[in-house]
Amino acid sequence: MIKFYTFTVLLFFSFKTISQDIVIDTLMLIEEIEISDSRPENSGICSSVLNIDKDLFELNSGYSVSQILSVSGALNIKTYGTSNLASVSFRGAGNSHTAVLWNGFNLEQATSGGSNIALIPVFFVDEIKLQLGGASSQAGSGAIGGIIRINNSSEFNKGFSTRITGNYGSFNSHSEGVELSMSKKKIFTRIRLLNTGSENNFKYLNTEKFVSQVQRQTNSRKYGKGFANDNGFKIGDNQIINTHFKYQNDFGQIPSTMQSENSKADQNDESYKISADYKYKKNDFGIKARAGLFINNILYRNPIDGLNIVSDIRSETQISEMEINFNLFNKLKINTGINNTYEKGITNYYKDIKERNRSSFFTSGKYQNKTKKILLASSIRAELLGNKFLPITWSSSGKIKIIENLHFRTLISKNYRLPSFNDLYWQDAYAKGNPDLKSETGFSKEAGFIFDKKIKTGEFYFTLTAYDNNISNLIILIPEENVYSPKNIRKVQARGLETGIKYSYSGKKYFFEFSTFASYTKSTNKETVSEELTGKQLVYIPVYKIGSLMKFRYKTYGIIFTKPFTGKRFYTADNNKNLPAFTLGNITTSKDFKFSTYKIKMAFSINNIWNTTYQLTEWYPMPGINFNINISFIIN
Amino acid sequence: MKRFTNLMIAASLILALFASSCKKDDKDDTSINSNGVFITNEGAYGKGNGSVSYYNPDKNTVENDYFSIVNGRSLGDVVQSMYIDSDKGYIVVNNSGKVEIVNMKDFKSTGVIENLSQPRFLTVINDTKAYVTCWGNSGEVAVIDLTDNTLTKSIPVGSGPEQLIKSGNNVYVCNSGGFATDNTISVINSQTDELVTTITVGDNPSDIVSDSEGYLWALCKGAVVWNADYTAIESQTQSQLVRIDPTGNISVKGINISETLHPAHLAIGKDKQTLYYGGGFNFSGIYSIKTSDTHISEALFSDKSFYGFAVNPETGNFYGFLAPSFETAGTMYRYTSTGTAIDKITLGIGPNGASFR
Repeated sequence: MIKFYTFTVLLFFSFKTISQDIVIDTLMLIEEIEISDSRPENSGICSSVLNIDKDLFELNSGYSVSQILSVSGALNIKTYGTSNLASVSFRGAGNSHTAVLWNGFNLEQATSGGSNIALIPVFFVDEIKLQLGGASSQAGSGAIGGIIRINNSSEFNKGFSTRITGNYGSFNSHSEGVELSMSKKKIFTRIRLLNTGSENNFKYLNTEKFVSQVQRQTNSRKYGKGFANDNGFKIGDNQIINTHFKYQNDFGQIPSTMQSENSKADQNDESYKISADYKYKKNDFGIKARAGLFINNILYRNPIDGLNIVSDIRSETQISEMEINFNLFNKLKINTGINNTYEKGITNYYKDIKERNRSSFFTSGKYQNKTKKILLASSIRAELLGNKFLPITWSSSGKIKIIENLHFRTLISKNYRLPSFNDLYWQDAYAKGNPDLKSETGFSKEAGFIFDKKIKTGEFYFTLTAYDNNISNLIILIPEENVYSPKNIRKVQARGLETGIKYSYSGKKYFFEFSTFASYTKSTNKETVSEELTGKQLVYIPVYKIGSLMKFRYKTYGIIFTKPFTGKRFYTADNNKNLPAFTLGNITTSKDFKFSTYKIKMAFSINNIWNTTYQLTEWYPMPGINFNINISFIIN
Repeated sequence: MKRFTNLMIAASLILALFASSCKKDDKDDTSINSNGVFITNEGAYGKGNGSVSYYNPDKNTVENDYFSIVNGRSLGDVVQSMYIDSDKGYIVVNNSGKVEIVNMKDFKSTGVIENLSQPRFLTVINDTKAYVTCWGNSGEVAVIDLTDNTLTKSIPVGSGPEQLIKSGNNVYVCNSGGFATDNTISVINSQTDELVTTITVGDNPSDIVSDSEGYLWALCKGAVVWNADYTAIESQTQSQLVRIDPTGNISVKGINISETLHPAHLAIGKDKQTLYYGGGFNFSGIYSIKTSDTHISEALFSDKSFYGFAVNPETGNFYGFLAPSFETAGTMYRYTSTGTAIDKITLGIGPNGASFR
């Protein structure tokens, strides 16, 4: 049954950097690095793609990806206080409508149908890109609202390097990381080790008590360990093999709320991510093959007196993929391939071991005219689940140069998310899975303008996008004879506007950058269980979200200021109650000390400088002003 | 002069009357009706959106989220029940481990009883003492000193102690089994706070009421044991109504309801001679029988699957609470005592019962 394709066929591919055709709405600037993403040729064409500032995660290497992304105006992150559980929503879509791709592999866990970015440490990451809008025809199931692309780089010919980094901050937060890398002409290898921990026992004002009082957060400890290894091998001039391995073991308590200070719940997550890819490219022709194995063991414990809840869930995903790239009639770039995904879920809440095997066939084409004024791209994906074809997903897009530096772009796509194993098979006294569930589907349209002017001393950039996404067959739990069962009955319309501005200026000794990204999101019920909820905004989706960043560097001194604004969010389906809007401010100052053979980087961060009181989930307090020191010792 | 004095007295009397009537009018707008009904809405577990709805039977109006509106803060996580003792209201908030105390004239918060382990129901024993049933600590009755709202003693009882009732000097506590199974009622001497005896009844007694003759009636839901993956019932026991004679040597008499159906709640009518039972898993509808009946009635009172219900002791009207899901608002359906539907009103999330001022 296990369909884990090995690399028996020798293949070819390009290991070129990001295609220049990708429209990059650089919210935050990074240096261009070599990535090993899937289908760089045609992926993301005419989509809004944002890069996340690399300095932000280099200077806060003890943070998780969710902490870094929380300053962005392009997405909304919901966490249960400071816990290890984060869900991401793009463009008003649901939490399970975000695909997280790690080196091109979809990390969706078949059991829960999601992937938890709070458990991805930025220390293990070299690049984060956000692709806004649905793109299932490229990324597969789950990519209805957007994609988070997390990549590891292979850098050749850089010699040996060692990096030792430590973070120490408020609430006994700490992290220690070691990175060793060897980079020769044909071989690259890197090892990373990470240890993290935090008590998170911050003080907050509990306003929900008979007498409001300042108290410490309880049951909020977390700690983790991880190991990562990335390797790259060049064979001749045209071939490359990359391998990636990552192991993590994380423990996190589920914090108490302002109303119930008796939480004893915790969760342990253990994960393995193993992958390899082989690429060949010569001239315009290339072939690539990849395979990955992803294992997650989640142990949730909630020792309520008399009812000791334990859920032990294991999910396993094996992905293998092959594709070819070639040019047709000189003008048309074609990418076509096949993907096989095998998933397995094991828990005492399913009757037996659940498996799913599916094969996808995808093709995309890109046309650009001679003057490069017009770019057209389309992609299509068909997926065979068992012996049945799922509805075909596709995208069609275009980009036209109106005048110098100004482009108009448009994109239409059909997207989907498969029901999770929990939706299909869960069985306990209160809930019963529904094996007849269909996929959730999204039909999205978007159009916008990009103005991008590069000058010697810097760049000015402006983008404006309008989108409309109709999401149907949404799965929600319906009570039936006092047992909840999921059904495909909800329809949501998510539409909105996004705008981004970036300005950067490089002088001889200094560098300045300002960028901001704002989104307006109306995501409302079109059809749902009760008519009274029609037209209501989805819970926890803010109508307004703005993320701003200011960066200044002078010689070896640096300062980064981020200011995320999150508008009010309803937390009841009838929109009667909301969490108020809030603005945070975070400052990171840094100084580099350079010596002949080594370098020391020091950074001091103040988070939540205005000591704003806010909540991301109702009744889960968040920390006020807090501090973090980062010291990195780098030997090249 | 005398005439003038008389005039003055008359004038001041009229003024006083006018003033007092003015005052009374003001008060009417802000204070709680003397026959106000308070519905507890559990909210979803862990979401902290439990609430109390204030229903005014005279005006047929409801004010949802009443505690938050009056006090400017949330009530808590899983609002289980409420007990009204003349001018004080005690709201039991299960997963917040507390009892919020409010003034019944204006619903303003006046105190809190904290550090309770999964509290379910409260009964006031006298001016200075209350009992709270708690599922935590393997099942206990917490004895509360109402002068400073602190816990003074814990009386161990059976598993999952649910409703309790005072009859004479004794308090009868239904041990509903909680997350397991129990088949006992604990009897506590409310003067000494000591366990007097434990009566064996049917499986999982949960609700208890007293009738016009002083008998106590308890609903035993029966036990249901599922197979490992919750796809089939492995075994189940009889649901029944038991009548307890609290006088003398406490005797018990049972009326069987069903071997396969398990009603979850019980209420008594205004006449104190009509019992209503129903609601709960795998049990649709409400049935009623007379306390003088010797077997179960087949006539349906209501066909709805109520999550909880209550009878207004003043009007005799029956209030059924429907909780369609724990994400959306529930509804109260009103019926006359004979089962004629009156109307319906929207409440908070997960309404489970009511208490009457």
